[in-house]
Amino acid sequence: MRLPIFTISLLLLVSVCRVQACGGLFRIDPKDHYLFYLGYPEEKYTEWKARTEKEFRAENIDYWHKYVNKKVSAKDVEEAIYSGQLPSSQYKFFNYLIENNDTLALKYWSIVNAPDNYSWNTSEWYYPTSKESHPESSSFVSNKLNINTVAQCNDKGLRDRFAFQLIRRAFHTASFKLCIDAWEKYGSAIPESALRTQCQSYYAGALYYTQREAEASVAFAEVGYFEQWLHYDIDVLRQVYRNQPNCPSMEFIVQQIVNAYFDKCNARDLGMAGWVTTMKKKNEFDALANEVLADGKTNNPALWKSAQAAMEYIGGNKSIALKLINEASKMKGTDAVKENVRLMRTVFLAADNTTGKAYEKALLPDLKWLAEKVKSDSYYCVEHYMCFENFEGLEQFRMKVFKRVVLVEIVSHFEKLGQPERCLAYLNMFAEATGNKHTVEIKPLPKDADPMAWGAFMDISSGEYYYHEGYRTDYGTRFFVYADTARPETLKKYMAFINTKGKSDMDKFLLSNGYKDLDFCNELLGTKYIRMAQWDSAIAYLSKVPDKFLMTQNIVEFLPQRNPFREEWITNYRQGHYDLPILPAELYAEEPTKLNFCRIMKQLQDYTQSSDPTVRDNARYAYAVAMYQMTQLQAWPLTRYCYGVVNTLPDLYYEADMKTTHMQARELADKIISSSSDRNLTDKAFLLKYILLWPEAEYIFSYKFYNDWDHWQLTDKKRDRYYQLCVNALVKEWCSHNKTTLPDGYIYLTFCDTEQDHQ
Amino acid sequence: MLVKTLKKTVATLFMLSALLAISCGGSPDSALEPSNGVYYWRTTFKLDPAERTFLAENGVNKMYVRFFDVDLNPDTMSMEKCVPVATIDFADTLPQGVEIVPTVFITPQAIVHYRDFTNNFARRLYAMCDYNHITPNEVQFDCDWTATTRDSFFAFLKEIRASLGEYFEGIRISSTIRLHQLSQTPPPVDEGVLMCYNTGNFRDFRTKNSILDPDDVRPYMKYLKSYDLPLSFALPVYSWNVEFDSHKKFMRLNNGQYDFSDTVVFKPLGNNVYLFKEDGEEDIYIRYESVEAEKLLEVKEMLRKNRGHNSNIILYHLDLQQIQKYSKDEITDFYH
Repeated sequence: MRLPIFTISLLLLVSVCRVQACGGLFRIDPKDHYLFYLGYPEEKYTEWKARTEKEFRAENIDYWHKYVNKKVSAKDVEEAIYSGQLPSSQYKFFNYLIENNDTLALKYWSIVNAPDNYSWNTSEWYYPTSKESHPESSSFVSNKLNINTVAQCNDKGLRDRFAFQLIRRAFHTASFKLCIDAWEKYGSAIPESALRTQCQSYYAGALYYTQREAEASVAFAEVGYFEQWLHYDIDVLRQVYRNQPNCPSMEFIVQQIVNAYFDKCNARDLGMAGWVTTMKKKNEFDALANEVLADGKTNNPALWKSAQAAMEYIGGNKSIALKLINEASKMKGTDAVKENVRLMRTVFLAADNTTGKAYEKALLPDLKWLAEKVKSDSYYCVEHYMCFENFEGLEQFRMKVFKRVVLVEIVSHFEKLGQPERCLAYLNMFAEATGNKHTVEIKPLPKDADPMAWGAFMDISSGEYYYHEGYRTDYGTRFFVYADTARPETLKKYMAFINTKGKSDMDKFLLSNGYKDLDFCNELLGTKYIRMAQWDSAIAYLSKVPDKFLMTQNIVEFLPQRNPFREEWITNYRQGHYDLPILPAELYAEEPTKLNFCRIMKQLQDYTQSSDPTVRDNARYAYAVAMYQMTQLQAWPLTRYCYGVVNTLPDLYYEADMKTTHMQARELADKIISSSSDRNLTDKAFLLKYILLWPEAEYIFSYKFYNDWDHWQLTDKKRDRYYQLCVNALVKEWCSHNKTTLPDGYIYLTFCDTEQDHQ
Repeated sequence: MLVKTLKKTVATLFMLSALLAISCGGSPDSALEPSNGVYYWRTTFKLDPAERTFLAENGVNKMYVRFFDVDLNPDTMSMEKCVPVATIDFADTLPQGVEIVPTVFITPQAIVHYRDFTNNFARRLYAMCDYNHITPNEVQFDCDWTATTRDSFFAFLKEIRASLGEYFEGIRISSTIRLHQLSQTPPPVDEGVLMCYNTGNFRDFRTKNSILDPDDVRPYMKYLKSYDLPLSFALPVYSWNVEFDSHKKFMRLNNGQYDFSDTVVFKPLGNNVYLFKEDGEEDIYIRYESVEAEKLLEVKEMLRKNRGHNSNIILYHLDLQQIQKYSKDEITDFYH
């Protein structure tokens, strides 16, 4: 039963509301991102590929240029071997070989040439059709090119190249043993060069495919080949260090080991044995790092020290981590390591709760530096949820660290101190640094355009239609979420702060880097009071907000479309036909604003105290309907800033206020039922109670958001049972109230504890 | 009016739940064409007479032949980031009456670059089929995708369906499904093959049997019933030796046939673990792993109990030396 109800609610959501492009949620906790970053595999691979390609090409041209005693220009050599049909007499280079009867070199080129004769676009993907011959096979390797072919070649340079072709072909034809043998016999004797690198990477691949992963990883690391298939192991790292203390892959392997430790420490099901192994690995790494730092062969000591610091931090030893990272910041290191050290230090300082009043002073220089870095990055991303997906690269990593520093560490620091208004100041600075956009272009609607299709809104004073080009992003930031869900007192304190010039250096930094707009805050505060049904306060704050500001809001087009006094659940509902001195639905339609809504609600509230029972009960009903509607699909723009399938802030953010207003609505419905003799009105009150069951049922289960929207799940099965009980009780209550029995054919909802019961 | 509205709502709820129950209740496996299958996972296609007899005797009419793997290209001279690796060499005639399903393994490292190779992939697959006189009705993809690589794999499947369609009219595509993938959305394919093997970590010395342990399969059964894709089951009939060094650290997998009855060379330590001692050489621990017929049947029953009886069985993989350890009756039981 759970599934259909959920399906219906989703269908309702899809069909009734319009999806608005607002941001809002954190799909992944910033703490779940890696702390240590020196490049992702993809970036490293791209960098390595481009570099080695370039080196190999230059070296190859140079070799053949010298081979022909420079009788053919380097340009002609390049043209012949990289763009021509090989070996063809139309190129000077091959002509030279033919004229000099260099059969060995020509044989070499005929082997290299083989793929080109039959390939589409020289693709490695080539395979012949039935109309073609099939030279690329293991038999090709064994007949034309084998260990003996290489051995028979007396010229050392040419022999190296024959060896390269053999290793390459053997790899591509899955002759891994031959590939390994050829490397061991000939490839490993090739002097340090791009050619050797090429050979060694095939050799490493062959080791990998024969399950010799540790050896493969050492070989891959030595050629600087970064990819996810490297085996990141302390033993591999140790071996690589011993072979080449300054191997370029070292940074990457260390990073992967630190991040693997991070993964292990965050794994929920590690178990005792897993934990012991993890700690053992950490200690092994520590010992190796100490050994490396002591023997002085590395020219990147900050790498090792900062890796130790990261592991301590991950393991919860924050003070040791801070001490180590401060040491690392004074050591020699590559630019990437230096920046990583500073990023980590910023996190550590933000998480350091031992400094008391000196907290902000210690943090300020690094926070300023980081905010400036993020601001200057071309990577533009307001806090939209998509920011958390697929991000790679240093700019995105800085953003992740910035999020971690502000959203996790600083916010929790000040929350613990009971200063949520300070959190708002930091969040505001954060939103600005990450490209928050406060303005939106307002354009007049083109003639004959359909206002609905354009998402247009009407300027009440002129009656003209306008539309937004783009949208404000500041109703989707974490600052907004925090401000929108904070208690009114917090927002008031924050508003007082932004009206000052600031006392401390941090105050000044936050003020000069934050967005100060009292209209924005007054509007938020007024809306907050609507949610709390405190009409006087709401009116007081909303009255301060000019129309000009309201026209920039994303909700402006939705307010007129969604009348809170219309009972959409009643078929052919009779709009505004209450026995009241006012017709609330019509009054709202005349001026669809939050302020007008508050004034109508205030008036209705007064009528609920009327001595005229008809006016009182109708006012109770209209008031109760709006109390429900203003939080729900029908009139959400009165209490929220976005409501869609994807970008909506979950109900749980507003749950406390919604519970209160819904409870009030229910109480009013009960009062109508007990006091009114108008059958039509009592039936409608019953129906309202039935409608209220939906959100009430929602309160007792919670959403759990995962990093993938396909996987948000309803977690409490009791909801179904609860809902059914409520519906049945309500039906009984209605029967009892009207002294009647259920008509024939009425089916009670039945209980079902398991989905199986319904199959 | 209230009752009327309530009735309407209740009736709607019931209608919807009934519709969903109907749509979920029938086994999607009934859409499968009944067949007995076998994987062919070697790099040279060559069947000896005994293997041909095996196919004929067991009514094997579908053979999933690994054509090549797709992996990252270690060749920096190439413009192509991903390349086919270990392409099969067809060195023998194809068996009569057996449908060949080209099967391709794509590494998780490669799948994220699927855009680089989708078109070449289709062209190559066509060329391979054409050259070797294969007319496929189905192509199968094998990829150990996870939440991180799922989007890429699914997008690849959608694109490759269109690309293959240019060469093969009405081609069906299928995908292997690993047990851990059962909890996720099924891939956009016509059918799946649940790989009921490699259930344990072979690198861990403490693992008893990494090929198949019913206890490792059991936790996934809760997902099987409602998995919304026609499924066949692949059962392992292979064995291997997992070798560890003297510190019990994983060294390699070995398909060699050791004579474990020679207890002087292979000292039995229990649980199919042997200590290989040779003068002057480091000790090697060898864990011989294979799956007994009873275990295979236990898993098969577990699967059928949770999924129904419409699923086809595919044995992994055709290697008579390995398969011969099962009796003819046992093989029959696997399939039926």
